Amino acid sequence: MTATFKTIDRWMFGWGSPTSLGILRIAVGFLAIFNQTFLAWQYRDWYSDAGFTPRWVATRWLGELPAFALDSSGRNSLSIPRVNLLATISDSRVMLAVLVITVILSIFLMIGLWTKSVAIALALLVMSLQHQSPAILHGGDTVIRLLIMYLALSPCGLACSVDRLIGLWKGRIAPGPVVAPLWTQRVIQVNLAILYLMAVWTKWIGFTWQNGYATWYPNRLAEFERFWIPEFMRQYPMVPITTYGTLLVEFAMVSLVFYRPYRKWVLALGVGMHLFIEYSMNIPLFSWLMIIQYICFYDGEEVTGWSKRVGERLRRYRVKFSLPDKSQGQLAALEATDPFDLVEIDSQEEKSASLAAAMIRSPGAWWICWIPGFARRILK
Amino acid sequence: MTDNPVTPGKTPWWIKAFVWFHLACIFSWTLPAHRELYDTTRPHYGTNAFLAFNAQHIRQTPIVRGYLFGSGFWQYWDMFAPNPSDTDTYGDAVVKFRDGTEATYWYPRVHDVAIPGKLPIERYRKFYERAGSEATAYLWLPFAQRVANQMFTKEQNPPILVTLRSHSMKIARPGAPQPTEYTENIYFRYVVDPKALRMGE
Repeated sequence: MTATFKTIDRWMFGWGSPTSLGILRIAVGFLAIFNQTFLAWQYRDWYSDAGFTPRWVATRWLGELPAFALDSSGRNSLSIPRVNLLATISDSRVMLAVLVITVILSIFLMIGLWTKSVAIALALLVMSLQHQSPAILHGGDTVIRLLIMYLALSPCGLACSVDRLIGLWKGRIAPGPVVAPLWTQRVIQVNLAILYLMAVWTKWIGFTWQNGYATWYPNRLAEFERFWIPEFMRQYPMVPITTYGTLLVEFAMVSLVFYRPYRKWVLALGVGMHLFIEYSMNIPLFSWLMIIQYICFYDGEEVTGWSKRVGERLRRYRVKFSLPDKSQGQLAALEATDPFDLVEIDSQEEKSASLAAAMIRSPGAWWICWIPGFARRILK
Repeated sequence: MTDNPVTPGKTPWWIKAFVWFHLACIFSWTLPAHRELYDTTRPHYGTNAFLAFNAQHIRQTPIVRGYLFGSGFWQYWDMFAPNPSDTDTYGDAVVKFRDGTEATYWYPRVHDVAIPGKLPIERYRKFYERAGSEATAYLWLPFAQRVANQMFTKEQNPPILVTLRSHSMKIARPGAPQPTEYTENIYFRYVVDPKALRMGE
């Protein structure tokens, strides 16, 4: 028993490479840009006292519990203050400015610039925006809020980030592998497992899921229509197959996914399920938000090992780039932009690949490729 | 900027305690908690006994609710559950102007727009799922007011009456004949308050 607890404790609170968290941060930032841009575009409808949801709606919405959910004495005496830094703002133009700021912070989160401060600020603002207009939230909003909050608690800026590149370049960070506490990555994993468990459990209470025809309905709702799907996918026997298949995949995401030999197969099934939902139904961002969390089931060392193996397969595209007069830290920063090891930086070599060739092979440098002359200036 | 640690350290006990508390709260809060589980007059058996105990004695406690709501970690995971919706619904409004003319207000509808436009307006469908419901009837007035404001385009001819309508069609069970017509339902009439009207908002 003690051994089991110790194993769980080691897994939950162990230290390791934060690379998976870094990749998750990039993906969350990328999707947050879309989510916050859509909201900014619709700010008059959702964040104005003249819109569909004036501020008093939030107070009413958040302050109420359904009658059956009151405590045993029949009262609902617990008034819980919500974090909302924007509660007193009535000017919709200010709300638009806040939404634009969240878009900018999402970009910074994605590239990993001032990561800790940016993640905390973004978490507070996204939470405030959601508490300001809670009647408009969908599942994707909930997932994105939780992920940004978890990232704010995590060491996600230590990997795959501009912070790291700057730190290496200026010699503030020692070159070499990074090790950090990974409990936030584990919490994200467990929270995801809880999500799937509750999704299965609440579905199993419904007679359409028990009787195998639940997917008959969503595929026929005009309001969810997206891309064309073949008719046989909407008919028997595919209806019970997709109904029970959904339950099985979701249950596997709670159980078998934690068993390493089955992990990649379960995750592949999860990706397949979400991609089908993404293709066939208009449910914005939710599927992508689910899929990107799967990276947390892999340790950072595994992800790094995978990128090195991919780089090995692509070795025929390797180039040598000559760069004299650079310090060890500067070279380490440039190497950190090249996860597939496709660019060999050499200070002695006379024959050198072009800058463009080197940058194309370094995905970590892509974010500056589009700024004319910037990369060349840094390298000089 | 923090230097990168190169050797693993030990996680403090208070972080461990916080993490287990956090996960326990999420687990309790997200467990199924449908209406029957709150019924204290009848016994519950099997997993329902566990769910009822959680719903009645743990889920609603100040600690669980207070922590999740106060920290912003609240969450619900009941997508397409317990049964997916079997009704296609969309809404619109009929607006009557001072000169007696009428116009239909188009509330964004996912079905009506091309594929690239569907994504951003899904939020309107989600909101209407709530705003068109009897349980949240308090959303009807701001909804109607918003419609009135948006339709107020001529100073001399303001809207005077907004009628909210929903259109719904049941999806038939497998094997049953599928209706093709939507049923119209007028659920709210708002006599526009001239003082609340704002042009161009």
